[in-house]
Amino acid sequence: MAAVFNLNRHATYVHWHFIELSLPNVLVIVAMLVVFALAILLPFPHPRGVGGSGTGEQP
Amino acid sequence: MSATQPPPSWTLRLRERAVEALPPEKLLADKQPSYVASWIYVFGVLTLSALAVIILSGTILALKGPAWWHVTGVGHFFNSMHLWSVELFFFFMVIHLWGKYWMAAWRGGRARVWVTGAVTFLVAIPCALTGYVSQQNFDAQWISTQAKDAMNQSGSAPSSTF
Repeated sequence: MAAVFNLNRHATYVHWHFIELSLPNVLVIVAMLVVFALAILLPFPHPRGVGGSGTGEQP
Repeated sequence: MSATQPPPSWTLRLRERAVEALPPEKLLADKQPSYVASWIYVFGVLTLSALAVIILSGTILALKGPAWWHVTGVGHFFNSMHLWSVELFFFFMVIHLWGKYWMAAWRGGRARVWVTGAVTFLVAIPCALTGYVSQQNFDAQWISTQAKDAMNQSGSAPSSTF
């Protein structure tokens, strides 16, 4: 990773009113939001012939 | 004369309680609860998997010491493994927490599971600060004093120690 990115300098910071975040942290937060949206929206694969209901209670 | 009763036995009582709590048909179950079939649940499993790697790599780091993890090649490897497992732990845990919170996952008799997750989250935050300190550089010194100030301000640590 160090070969791709120059890690020997200060990080770029994002300012928005009183919020100040480094760009790497902003990218991680955005990645978490994107992965969370995908985890909610993408259908969970079920084996063939097996329905969605099991023995437990759906939250 | 009364009918003969078997004498009360602690092994019998223990066995009956164990069978009542964990009936054989629930052990090595062949059907999964419906809430398992969810990407959010998968992220909970990933969180625990990352935690296992954190504990394993952290134990090795603690036993070998900073002169090993800062200098040797294998030490660098375990240092990096510890760092990235922590990064993934928080990444997965936050996604799992968001999902479970909005699903109100404490319902259905799973309050204790929810409490376990909440305690894990609250313990993980101060534990992460100890990871910063393991860098042992100026960043570590700065972060340790800032973390201590935060703990003093919250009233959770005696202020006389710094």
